[in-house]
Amino acid sequence: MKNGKLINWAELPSDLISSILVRLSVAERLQNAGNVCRSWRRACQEPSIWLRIDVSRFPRNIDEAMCRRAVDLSQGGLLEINIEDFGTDSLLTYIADRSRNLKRLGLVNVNQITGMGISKAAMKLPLLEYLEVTNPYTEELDLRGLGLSCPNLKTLKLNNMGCVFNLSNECDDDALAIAETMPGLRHLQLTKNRLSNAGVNAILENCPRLERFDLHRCIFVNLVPASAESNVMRGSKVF
Amino acid sequence: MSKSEKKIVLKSLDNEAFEVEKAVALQSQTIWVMCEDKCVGNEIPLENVTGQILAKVIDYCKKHAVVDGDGDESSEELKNWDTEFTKNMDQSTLFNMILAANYLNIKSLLNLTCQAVADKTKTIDEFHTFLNIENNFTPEEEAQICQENLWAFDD
Repeated sequence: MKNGKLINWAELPSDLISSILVRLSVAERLQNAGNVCRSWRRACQEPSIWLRIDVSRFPRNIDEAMCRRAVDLSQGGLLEINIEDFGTDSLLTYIADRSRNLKRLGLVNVNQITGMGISKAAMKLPLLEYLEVTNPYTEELDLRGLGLSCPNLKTLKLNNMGCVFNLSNECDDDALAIAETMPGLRHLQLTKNRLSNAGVNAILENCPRLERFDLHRCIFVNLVPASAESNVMRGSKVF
Repeated sequence: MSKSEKKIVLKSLDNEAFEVEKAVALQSQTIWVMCEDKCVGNEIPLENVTGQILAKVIDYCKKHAVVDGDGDESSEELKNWDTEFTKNMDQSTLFNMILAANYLNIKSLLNLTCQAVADKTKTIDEFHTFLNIENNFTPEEEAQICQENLWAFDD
């Protein structure tokens, strides 16, 4: 670097500062970039850089307070949030109360977020199109309520839900709730769900727009070649 | 149009001329629009970009035009080339590359250069040193920032 030719990046136009900021993690924006100088601080407070938030505890050392601040800065414009390895029902409520425009919610390894908490949040998120919950401790997620609250739901991924508690009996409650209330689904992914062939069929019959159906480690499902073939013909893939 | 419609001349702010394949130059949406909308002949004046920066932009576009042509955009090789391309850029070059990518409207180059800055500024000290930004907050603003950041020390 040649001395004397150093450029002061405080003078970068604000939309270009934003282009850099969106490539930093939430913690880096709040703890570093926003505290560097006035122009970068101003850019950090622009709601447009907070429309999509990806927060995971590791390795970025994020906490709930920081996550709440990010949600505040979006000023109600939050469209997508992905939370990994931390979070509570109270955080989820905080997000849902302030983000009626949310389209995409990802909850991965969120051991302290309950099914009840997710159900309550979903009631406040009428525009939700994508929901992923990957957590072995999550029980009591009211899928029927979810389907009714979120009529635009296109992608649903439920992985390992409650599987630490009970895997011994087949149960089609989830599948039937999906079939009854989520006719607009395009992509459904179920991992370690206890649904049976009847549940699979109910979903295929009632979700005519389904383009992709992933079943992973659903031990009560036995696909016979004939039905597998008809699924493929419908454009659905069953694994 | 002069000798070949496949070639185009880009002229920098400091009057340096670069003859390049049209397919290379048209990765810039700005140049594309200039070629479509105006009858500028085959010489395009770029008033916001110096020759030194334009040469680098052209290097980037050449590399990407060739590989894109092979239908292998996301190849590992191209990614490595991109990483090397920005790795040792000094801060003033990177700054001007971002401005140029924005002015010329080359989205992938803007993404690449902005990502390079994000990668080089992981701590507040790096912001101050690499970006040469001075703290210009008033004492009142400092106090407010401290107040806001109290939660950062809660853990």
